Formats: sequence, structure tokens, C-alpha cells
Amino acid sequence: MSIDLTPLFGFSLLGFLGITMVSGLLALHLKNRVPGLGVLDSLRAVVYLTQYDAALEYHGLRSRERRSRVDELRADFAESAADGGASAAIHRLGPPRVLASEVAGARMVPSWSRGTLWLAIAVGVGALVLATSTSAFLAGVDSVASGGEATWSTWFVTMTATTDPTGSSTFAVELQLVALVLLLVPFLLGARVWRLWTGNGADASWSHQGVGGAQP
Amino acid sequence: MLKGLITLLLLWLLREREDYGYALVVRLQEAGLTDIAEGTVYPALARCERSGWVEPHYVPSERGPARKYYRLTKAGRGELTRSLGSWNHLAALVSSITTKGT
Repeated sequence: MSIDLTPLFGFSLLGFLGITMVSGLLALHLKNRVPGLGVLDSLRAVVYLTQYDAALEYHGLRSRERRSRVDELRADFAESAADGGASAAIHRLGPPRVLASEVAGARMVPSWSRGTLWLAIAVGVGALVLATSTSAFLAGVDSVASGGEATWSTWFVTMTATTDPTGSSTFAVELQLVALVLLLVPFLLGARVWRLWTGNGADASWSHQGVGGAQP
Repeated sequence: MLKGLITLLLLWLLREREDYGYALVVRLQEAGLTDIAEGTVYPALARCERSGWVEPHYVPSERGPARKYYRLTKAGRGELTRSLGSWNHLAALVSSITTKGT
């Protein structure tokens, strides 16, 4: 009796991706948590500070200075939130991208770490689709008579399964080079590579002026 | 012009005593700038820091990260004197123009 473990591969990958995402979110929460707030206010603060941190990265601030800027807000946030709650405090700070633009005072640059994250997600999704397709393909291979060959191809992937009269089988997956090139697309989009040329373009078109609230 | 005014006021407050971002917001509000928001003060402090007019130091906190305090540097005192002089000159000019009778 044999058990086909191939379907489990897809679900394992999905589970791995899920655990990775949850772990990442938990790490973000721990990194940007603000002591002294209720659950909802704490969540609002974490979301805002995470967005602020990401926006500072887009302005080319190094990790140490970014951490310093985010921690400055973290240290003061609870006191500010005492006046009207986290939502009011966030409103007074203004949109995180605008605040980051004003604080950093630097042109926007590509974020290669963000691009790498998008690439990892694209590879994960691609692997999941491939694994699921492989499972379906192998199920069909069972119907191939002994000594036959089955081929399945789609997009940039070709799978071939061969069985010989003795019952042994081989399985091969061929990935065309263009598929690897296409994986560059999410990487470049995630990194906002066009900022190499545009700098402070449309992404930073708002400017926070004056003594009023943080609305442009 | 308003950005310059906020910088002047922050340098003045820090001349009196060192303080952290949110406390400076409260001091400005208590002085009469009731509309001032944190989203204005933090960028102004960052500009002052980049210009070398203020320097940060950190005071450990019982809960959460260390609090970032700012204090005026020697260059900051020079900038404060210069800015105050410019402001007083401008204020006198505006007053002179607007009080001239017709």
C-alpha cells in the first residue's frame, strides 16, 4: 500500500506560508507595541508605527535611525493617546507617509527589502500552484499504461512522467528561463524601482505645512 | 514662514529647558498655539537635529523605549539669536507698515 504524499506538499507549503506570515505580524507587533494602551488602541498604534517605519525606509533612512525615529513616537504615543485615544493621536500625527517625508527630509529610494518580500511571496504562490498542478498531473499519470509517457505543460512549466514495463517511473519538471525572469516583476514592483529616477515624485507629493493639523 | 516660526519657538523653549517631543507640543499649546499638532513638531525637531541646532539624549523609561529628549547646542543658540533678530526686525517692519495712517 502506498500513500501519495504529493497533495500534502501543497498544504504544507500553505501552512508554512501561513505560519511565516503570522510570525512576521507577531514580530511587528512586539517591535512596535506601545505599553499602556488598550487592545484596540494598541493595535491602531502598531499599524501606524509599522506604516511609518516602512515609509521611513522608503526615504532611505538606515535601520538605526529609523528605529530611533519610530521609538521616539512609541515613547510619546501613550501620553498623546491619553488625550482622546489612539485615533486622535494618530490624526494629530497625520498620514504616516507624510510624516515620514517631513521627518526624513530625503528623497524616496527603492526598498530592496520590500522587493525581496514580494519576490518571496511570488515564489511561494508559484510553488503552491506548481505543487497543486503536480498532484493533479501525477493522479493522471496513474492511468498511463505501463511503458508509456505522459506530458503536461502550461505557462512556462513542462512536466513529464515516464513508466517502463517493470513499473518504475521517472518524473521531471522543466522550468523555462522566462519564468525566472518574470519573477523579477514582483521584486521590482515591490521595491518601487522607478524611484531611482523619480525620487520625490508622486509618492511624496503631499507636503505638511503650517501649524495646523496634519492634513495637506 | 510658519516652518521657520515653529523652529524659532522650539529653540526658544529648549533654551529654557530640555524636553521631549510631546512635551514641547503641550508647552506650545499652553502658550497659546492651540492648533499645533505633533505632526508639525516632530518634523521641525528632526530638521533642527539635522542642522545641528539640537542634540538628542535618551532617558530610560520604566515601560517602553527610552524617551528622546532634546537640548540646545551652541550652534542652536546662535541660530536662535539670529532668528529672533530677524523676527523682531520683521515684526517691527510689519507694524510700521500697517500702522501708517492714511
